[in-house]
Amino acid sequence: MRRYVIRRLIQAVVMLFVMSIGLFLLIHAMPGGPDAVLFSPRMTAATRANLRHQYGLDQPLIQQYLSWLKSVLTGNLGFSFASGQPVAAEIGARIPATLELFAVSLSFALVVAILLGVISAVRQYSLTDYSVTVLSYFGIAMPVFFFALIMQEIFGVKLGWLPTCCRTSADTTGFTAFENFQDAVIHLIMPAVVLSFLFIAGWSRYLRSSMLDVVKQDYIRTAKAKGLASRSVFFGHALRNALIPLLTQVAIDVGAVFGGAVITETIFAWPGLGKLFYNSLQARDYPVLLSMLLLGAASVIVFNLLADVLYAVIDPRIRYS
Amino acid sequence: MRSKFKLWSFAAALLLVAGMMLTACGPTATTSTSGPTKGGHITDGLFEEPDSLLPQQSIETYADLVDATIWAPLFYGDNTGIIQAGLAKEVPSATNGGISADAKTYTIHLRPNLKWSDGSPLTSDDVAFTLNLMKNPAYGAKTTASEFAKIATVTASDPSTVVITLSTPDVAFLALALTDPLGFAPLPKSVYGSMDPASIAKSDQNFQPTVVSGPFTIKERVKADHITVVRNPNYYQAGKPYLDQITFQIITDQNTILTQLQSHAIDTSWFLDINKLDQYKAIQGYKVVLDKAPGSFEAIYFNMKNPFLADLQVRKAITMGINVQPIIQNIWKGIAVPTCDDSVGTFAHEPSLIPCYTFNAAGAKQLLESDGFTMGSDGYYTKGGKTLELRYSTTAGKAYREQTETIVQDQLKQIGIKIDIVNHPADYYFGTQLYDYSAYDIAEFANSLGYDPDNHTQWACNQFTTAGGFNISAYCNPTVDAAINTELTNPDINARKAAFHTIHTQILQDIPVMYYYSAPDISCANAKLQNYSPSPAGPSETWNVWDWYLSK
Repeated sequence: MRRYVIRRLIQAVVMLFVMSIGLFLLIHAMPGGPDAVLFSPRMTAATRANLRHQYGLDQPLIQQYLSWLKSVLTGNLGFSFASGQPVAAEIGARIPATLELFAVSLSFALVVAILLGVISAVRQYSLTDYSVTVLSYFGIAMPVFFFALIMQEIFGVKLGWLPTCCRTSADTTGFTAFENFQDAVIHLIMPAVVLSFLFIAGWSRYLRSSMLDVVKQDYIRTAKAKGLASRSVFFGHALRNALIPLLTQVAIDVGAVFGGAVITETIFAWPGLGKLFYNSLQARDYPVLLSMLLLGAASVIVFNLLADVLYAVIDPRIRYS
Repeated sequence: MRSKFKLWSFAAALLLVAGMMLTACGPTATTSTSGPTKGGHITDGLFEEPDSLLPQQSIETYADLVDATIWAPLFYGDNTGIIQAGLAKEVPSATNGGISADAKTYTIHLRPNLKWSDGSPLTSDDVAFTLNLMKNPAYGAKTTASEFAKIATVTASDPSTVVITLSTPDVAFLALALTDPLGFAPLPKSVYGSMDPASIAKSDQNFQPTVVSGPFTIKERVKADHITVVRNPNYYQAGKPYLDQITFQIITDQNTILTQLQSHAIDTSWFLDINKLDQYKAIQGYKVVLDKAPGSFEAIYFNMKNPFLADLQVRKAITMGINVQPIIQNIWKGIAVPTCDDSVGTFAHEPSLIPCYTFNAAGAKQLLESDGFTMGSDGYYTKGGKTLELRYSTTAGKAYREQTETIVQDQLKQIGIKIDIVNHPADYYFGTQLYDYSAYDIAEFANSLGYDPDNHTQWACNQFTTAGGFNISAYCNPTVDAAINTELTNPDINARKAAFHTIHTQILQDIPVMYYYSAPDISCANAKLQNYSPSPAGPSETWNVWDWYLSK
């Protein structure tokens, strides 16, 4: 196993290097550039030249890439073209918000997906199963932005129960620590539910299918033949085995965390990585974009590896040589 | 049976939701007439996060909007486009001796006893230091650096007097270089004097300036989330601002801004979506506010490098074939107004020129036929074996522009002109496409000239894009060039007005452009918020933030 992990890590480094070249070229191939977005037509030629020099945009592309790679390898992600702030600070400031949103929505999604998946499998072809199936397809088909708008309209505008945006209230002057916590929780509910909806829909279908596969296995038949109660058969044997592929899927989905949830974060004005990515794309902020894309790629690679390792740890039948 | 009940419940819930969504909101509340009251917090929804909060370090209006709360400029523009004195005692002019006859020397007197937010004195030394800083390419002034490049010398002759000498005459220097905080506001020499100019934009001060001069100071800034400003006790206008605190909440989605307004979570937001106008109007306790005098105009520019468009008769036929009224009424819901010049929102605007275009489809066809065009079997005119086919370009993703070009495409089809719509992302369009004469035939976009009507970069013969200007029509007329020379060098306002009249009328004759309309920016605010009257230029929403107050 150790050799397998080391080999995968070495592959990951090579893959990231190749991806960094691809992403660098892709970003520079986008129409427009930071000059067009950030510079004013009334800027003097001297100032324009000076800024291009400061940003390193006056160097040949290969030189720009090598300079960027060198500084990344020394732990310096550079400075944002748009804000002038260090890229590490820009990204670092957004990580807590995105982690908070993902942690809550993925946890919620996992619990609900397991419940729905199990119920659906246990009562296969029942009205409940059909209802869950319809709702799941509804969840998969429903565009996130539209679902978010409906939620905002109902729970934010009409009922006034939940805030329609942001991580906290705009004015928290005089709030106690508990009130601040309460404020944060209430702001988290709607974006977390919206983000979890897609995961619930997908994962519950995954678990249902996995459960249906497992219940047909010989060891389940044996367990039943031994006279174990249905509850014990389902939860003690079937569910535990059915969860194995789901957990690997969850691990892979968690890997997307560093890409942020662009749509959800934009609609709910959530100050996370997704929103930063969107803004940086608009501004052609190359240093931020490159760092985020690479971080996202690294995260996907690491969580994929984690999923593979997890699979072997949970399922003793799996062996990596 | 139980499941059936659940289905019925679900269906009933859906109907209830649909019903709620269709329910109309209540009427708009009326405003109070009581006098200014001190205190209160408000929240303003910002559609974009300011990238920098230092003068000249951003080209964003949203940065300017926040800058106006923390920086006091020497001069500011009001909501009718008139320049007023800020930190300066009066607006320099040729009449009061503040501008020399050759338009090369500007003398500015500061108000007495000005202070920075930390209580230290704000003097002419700070102003001179900042002007020299802006002039330094290492600082990277982003908006009007070309104006600062004209500065030959800056002298702080006494603690309250600054004398600026330009290397070339520039009557628009005051309007373009010294008005509004995004353009110019003095920076404290005590903070920035010891910093390397190239490092200022990368410093923490760029994100959150600590010593400021405006009506408010920054209490807190959380990246991508909010900026909270609180009253500056050392602000030069005694007793102001009235509000204790403003929080700018970053909400980069127009639908969410709407729901925030509807749920009264924010008190105001500026630059709103025309397609949601009726929904803003329906918010109880809120008012929709339009610019007092619109400052921008939408127009199409004809690329006269195109052989068809080089022909005046074709350009004239196009203006006769386009009826702007459906665009104003259907897309802009009647709030846009026609314009026949590009000086809207400035002293040179001439409403008397309206109407300048007459919709006459039959006349347009006759004009084209008399110009040698013949109708082809496909319903489009041809000349010299070529179909009268033109590319119409604008920024992609702007619904009102895409709707406009569809209407125009249909209208021009009626007069035998084939229009191919070719849109681009805004940055690519303005940054690359419009600088390439081979890339477009007709270009649509909005423009705003700010406080000075000078637009020579668009009309002068030496301003073709190939020469670094913005004359995207490739238009050249010696009469216009002579008038441009007058308006650029003569500080007398009447002489400038006359020069602009010449430019406007000549352009209407030559038709390098067709003006569609001038549309106001849309704002929505809590009806209790008084003195809220956005300006079409400069910081727009917050130009007079010190005067805002909440009525009881």
